[in-house]
Amino acid sequence: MDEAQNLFREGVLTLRNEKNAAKAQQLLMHSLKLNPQNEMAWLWLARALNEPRQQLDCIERALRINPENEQALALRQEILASAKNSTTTRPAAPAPTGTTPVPAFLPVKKLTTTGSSKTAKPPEQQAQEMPQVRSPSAQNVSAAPPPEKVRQTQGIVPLRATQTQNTAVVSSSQTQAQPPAANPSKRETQNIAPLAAVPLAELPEIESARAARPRQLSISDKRRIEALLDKANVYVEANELEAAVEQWVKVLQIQVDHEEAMRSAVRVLSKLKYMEDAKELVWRALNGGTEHPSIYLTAIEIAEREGDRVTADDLRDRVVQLSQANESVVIHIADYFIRTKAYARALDVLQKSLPSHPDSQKILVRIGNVYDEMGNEAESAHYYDRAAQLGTGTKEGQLADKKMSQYVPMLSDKERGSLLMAWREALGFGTAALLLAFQDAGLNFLNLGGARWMGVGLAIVGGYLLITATSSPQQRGLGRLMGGRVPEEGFDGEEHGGVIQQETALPMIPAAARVILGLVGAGLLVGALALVFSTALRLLSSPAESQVPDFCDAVYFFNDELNRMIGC
Amino acid sequence: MGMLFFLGFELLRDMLFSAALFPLPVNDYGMVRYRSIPWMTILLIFINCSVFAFWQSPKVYALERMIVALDPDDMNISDDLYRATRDYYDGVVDVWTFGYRAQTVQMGLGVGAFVAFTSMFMHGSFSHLIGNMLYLWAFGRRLEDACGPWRFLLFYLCCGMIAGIGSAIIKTRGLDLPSVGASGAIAGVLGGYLLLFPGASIACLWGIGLILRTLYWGMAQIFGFDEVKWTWTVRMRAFFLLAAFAAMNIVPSLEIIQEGSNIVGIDYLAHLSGFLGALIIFLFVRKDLLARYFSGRRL
Repeated sequence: MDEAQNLFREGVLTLRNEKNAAKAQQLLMHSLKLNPQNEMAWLWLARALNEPRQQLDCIERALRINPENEQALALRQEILASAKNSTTTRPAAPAPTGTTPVPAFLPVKKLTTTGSSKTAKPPEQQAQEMPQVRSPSAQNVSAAPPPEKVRQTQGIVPLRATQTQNTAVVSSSQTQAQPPAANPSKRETQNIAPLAAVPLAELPEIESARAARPRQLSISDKRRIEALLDKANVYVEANELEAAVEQWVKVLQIQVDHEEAMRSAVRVLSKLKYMEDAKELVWRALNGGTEHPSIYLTAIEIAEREGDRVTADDLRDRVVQLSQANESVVIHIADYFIRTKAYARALDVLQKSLPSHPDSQKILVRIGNVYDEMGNEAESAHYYDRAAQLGTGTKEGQLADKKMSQYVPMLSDKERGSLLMAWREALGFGTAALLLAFQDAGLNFLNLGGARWMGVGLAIVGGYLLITATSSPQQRGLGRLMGGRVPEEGFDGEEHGGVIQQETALPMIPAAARVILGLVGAGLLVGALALVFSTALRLLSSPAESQVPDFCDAVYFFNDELNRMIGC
Repeated sequence: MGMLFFLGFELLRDMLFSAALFPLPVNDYGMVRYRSIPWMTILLIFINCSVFAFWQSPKVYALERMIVALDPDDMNISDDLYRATRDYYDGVVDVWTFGYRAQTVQMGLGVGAFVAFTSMFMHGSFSHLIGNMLYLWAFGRRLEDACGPWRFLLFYLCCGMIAGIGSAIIKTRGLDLPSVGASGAIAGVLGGYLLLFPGASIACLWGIGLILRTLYWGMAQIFGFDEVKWTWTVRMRAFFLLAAFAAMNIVPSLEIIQEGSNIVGIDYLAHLSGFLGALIIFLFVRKDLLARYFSGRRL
């Protein structure tokens, strides 16, 4: 801060004593870079400049810091009157302070471009080129200069200044909605409500923003945008970032929410520490009704950086409702709420986005995570299961699958209603019956005979009936056919027999019918056993000789009595 | 008391011998998701142990009792010797009557095809029983969890039958030799486990592994390069363990097929048949688990 003050003092002395405006500009700009809140430095810089528009920008800066600065108000009146004169009568516009060359770039918190000293135009020409910028009503954003004039005086529309004049009427009511600012005393005295501090839902419609609202671009507009972007790229390659920013801003004057221009401009402005300008570009796009989520995300980042949580959260709520909000945007927002343990909000965001992204494993897993954190295991398992069912080839799918293994399994209607699954289990009974029949027939399929084959068939049918009665009473079609109804309660996320029962839409066979089916099935199985094991059952009632071989050669005792005992 | 000492000694000897070179599974680290008490596995172990303890063991160890009761200087038969000899004879008859003999099944001798069940619950020795029950405990619990107790029982019995059938129809000689033990059914359990949970971890007693682990643990203690907790068991992947089990049964099985009969006293063909018979596990697992299995998800 001391250095800023020294530079400021030196700049003032240079301008006052040495009358060297160029040097004074450099010193004052350097000072303002270090301390942009020095209102007097802005005024002195205005005096050091010779272009009215730039001077007004500086004065606006000073007034924003202190709206009651009388010197600034007087100087503004003076410059405005002078500019009006020059526009109507076209006299040579006298420089307010000195006749020093205009700096090529104004490296202060308000980015403004000017003509270079080499290309400086006569005051008449300068006056002709700038008037629409100064008039709030004449903010013709599409009036970009021809390419050859890019480095000349036509520069960035002073966004804040324009908005200031438009919002001045309503700003007094907005100040109540502002969160505590870093310097409350100054904030309270300001007429201008800093946009970032006001929740967007409460922002008034701004004429300029309306004018810049995203619209259908004409072919010529598109061509101009392309040309400007190309030019910006050339500047970027030449490392002339400020000039590149100028091109991007011009693009944004044509299309207030041009994504590429916005992204590039904000990135460079942030890099150059012109956060105020970056912020204004973004907020202008938001006020213009942009539908680009990336711009909202940038705005959120800016609001977060300024500690304005309320605005940031409001923006988060809005961005997920955008038609263009894709999965990654939703995830980005939800992750923030999860990180900050705002689980209800995270859940709200995720649930709202689910209908438009029903197959998003990322969203499903996050809903599961949120429910898990909230201690709702049944719901979290439900969403993990849904995510895992979409496939385990993805990272999220594997994660969901891993999470699911921590819970008891889920039984869905797909499995409950499957006829194939029930018949598969019945085939298990059939397999057992076939193995029994095969052995009973002396390990020869040809000896199986009709009765044993019938036994195998009965085992399958009996098994199916038993399975239907016990573990598959909701097979698709069967339940309704037998007069079943959809269970009303006890199936919503309830653990039953080691399995979480998901909510079901399948009718269940009535209990009485199930008992009958079970008894019939068991009877058929008993009958099947009698058929497939007929020989063995007969032998059980009257066992045949087992034909134990003669062991006398292998086992011979020296004692005759023992040998007689074992039959040798 | 002498008999208990003898059984303990035999068990220790056989366990040490079998666990020295090849890992002996004792527990499953896997997660049980449906039921915490595997009562069908416990019931099967109980039945096997009961059959051995109350019916077989007096007969299985009758020869040892005869040796103890025999007095070379006294030609008179003591009561102990008489009972031991009687038990010995009954034991042999039991094995030949209730063991799985192809001849019994084919010709409807004794209890006929019922030997498929009776042989499954009989064992040749105490260490045979304990070894099988250890495998059943280590692998059966989780499989029962995956199938449900009744389906698991059906699967277990089917695998036992497949093991007996496989051994009986592949052998060309020595068909009359009885085969007893739960090994075939348990081999089916192992095969089912391999199909469903190949990546699971199994705690094993393993002599070589234990020596290596102890060496590593000792070095870690001395040089402090790792925080190693010493345990009696070694953790192994089920896949490697069961693949090794299959390999150890394939080679002798091929030899038996070539020779036509079993010459080593272990029915490797029954083990292998039961192991391969485990493919029917998909008819018995729970429907939700099957859906997960075929969609490549964790079970």
